[in-house]
Amino acid sequence: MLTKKISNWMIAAAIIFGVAALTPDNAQAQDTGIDFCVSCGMFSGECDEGGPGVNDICVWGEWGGVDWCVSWGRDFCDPRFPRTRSASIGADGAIVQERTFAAATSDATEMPQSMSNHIRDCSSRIVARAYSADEAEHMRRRTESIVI
Amino acid sequence: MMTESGRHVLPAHVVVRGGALSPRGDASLFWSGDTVWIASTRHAEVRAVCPERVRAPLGAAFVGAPAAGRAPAIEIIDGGIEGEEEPRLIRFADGQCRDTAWSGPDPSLPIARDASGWVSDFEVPIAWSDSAVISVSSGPRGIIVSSRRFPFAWATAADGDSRSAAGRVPAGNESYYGNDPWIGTGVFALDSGFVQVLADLASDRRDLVFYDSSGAFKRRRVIDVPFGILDTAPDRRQLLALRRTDRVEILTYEWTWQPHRAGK
Repeated sequence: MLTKKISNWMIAAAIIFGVAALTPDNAQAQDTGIDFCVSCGMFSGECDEGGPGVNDICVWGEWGGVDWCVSWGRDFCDPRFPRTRSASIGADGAIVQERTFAAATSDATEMPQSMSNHIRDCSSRIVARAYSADEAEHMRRRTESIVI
Repeated sequence: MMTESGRHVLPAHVVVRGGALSPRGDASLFWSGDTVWIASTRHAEVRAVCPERVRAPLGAAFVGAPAAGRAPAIEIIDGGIEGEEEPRLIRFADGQCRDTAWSGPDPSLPIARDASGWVSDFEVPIAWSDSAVISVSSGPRGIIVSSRRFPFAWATAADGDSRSAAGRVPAGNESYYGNDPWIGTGVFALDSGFVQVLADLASDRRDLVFYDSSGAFKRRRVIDVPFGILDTAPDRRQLLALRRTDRVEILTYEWTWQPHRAGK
C-alpha cells in the first residue's frame, strides 16, 4: 500500500508538472474511466497529494485500474496561449507535455503491460499517452523500413 | 525505401528538439531543452557534449569538414539560464569546450546553420504572416523555411533572399484544415527533392509529403507512429529521425528509390 501510494504520488507530481500550459478553456479526459468535458471553472477538488505547484486544479481519474491525479493547471485554461506554440511541440510532432506522462506510466509498476491509453483535450489533441510494451515493439517494427 | 541502419535509445522523458548529421555521416548530434548529445552511427554509446557548460541549447551543428582522423568541431548556441545568463556560443573541438558571448542573430527565433554561419533572420513571405510559427532546417541549397500551419508552405533560401524552390500542400489533396490539429515539423532536402513531415496532434498519424526539386507535390506516405525527421544528408542518402514509443529513439536511415505505384 505504501509502495503504491508513493508511486502514485510521484506519478501525480510528474503529471502535474508535465501536463500544464495547454490551450483551450475547457478540457476533456477520455479513455481513463472518466469521461467529461467541462469548463475550467467547473474543475473541483484539489490535489492534496500532488505536492506543491502552480497547478492546483485537478481531477482524479482511473487509468489502468489505478487512481490518478490529472492536473491541467491554470495555464491550461488561459486562452492567451496561442494554440500552436512552437515550444509545445517536440520533434516527434507531439505535444511536449505528454512526454512526462509517458515516462511516468513506464515507471509505474501498477501500469498493466497490456494497457495503452490516451488523454485528450476538448480539441481532441492528445495531451498524454502511454503504450504497452507489445504495442511499442509493433510500432518499432512498422518503421524499421518505410516505403517512400 | 527508407531502411533503419542505426538506433540510439534515450529515456522516454527526453524531449528532443533537433538533431544534425556529421559531415562524414559517422556521427549524429541531437539536443533537448538542457542537453546536447553526440553519438556514433556505428556504436550504441551516447555522450553529452560539454555538459558542464550547456544549459539551454537552442541549436547545434557540426562545423566544417575536418581533416582525416580528426573529429569535426561542434557549435552550440546556448540560451543560458533565463534571466541570469546571456546567450553564448559554445564550441567543442579537439576535446575542449570553449564559450564566447553570442553576437549573432536573435537566438530565441528559429535558427539554423548553413555554410556561412548561423541564420535566424528569415524573410518570410507576406502570405505566411498569419502563421508566424516557422521551422527551419539546413540543406545543400541553403536554409529551408517552412510554416508549421496549414497549408504548410515552405521555401528554400539560398542566401536569405533568393528562393530557388518553394512548395505547399496542394489544395484539395487532403483535409489538413486550418482548424484541425495538424502541424508541420519541418521540410528537409533529399537527393531528388524534399520531404515534409506533418503531424496530427490528435493521433499518432504522421504524413511524409514528398516534393520534387522545384517544390511540386509528388506523393504522400502515412505512418502511424510518433515520428519526426531531424536532418538529412542528400549526398549520402542518409536521414536522421526520431521515433517515440515507450522510449525515445534516435534513428539513422538510408534511403533508396524504387518505382512507386500511384497512391495517396
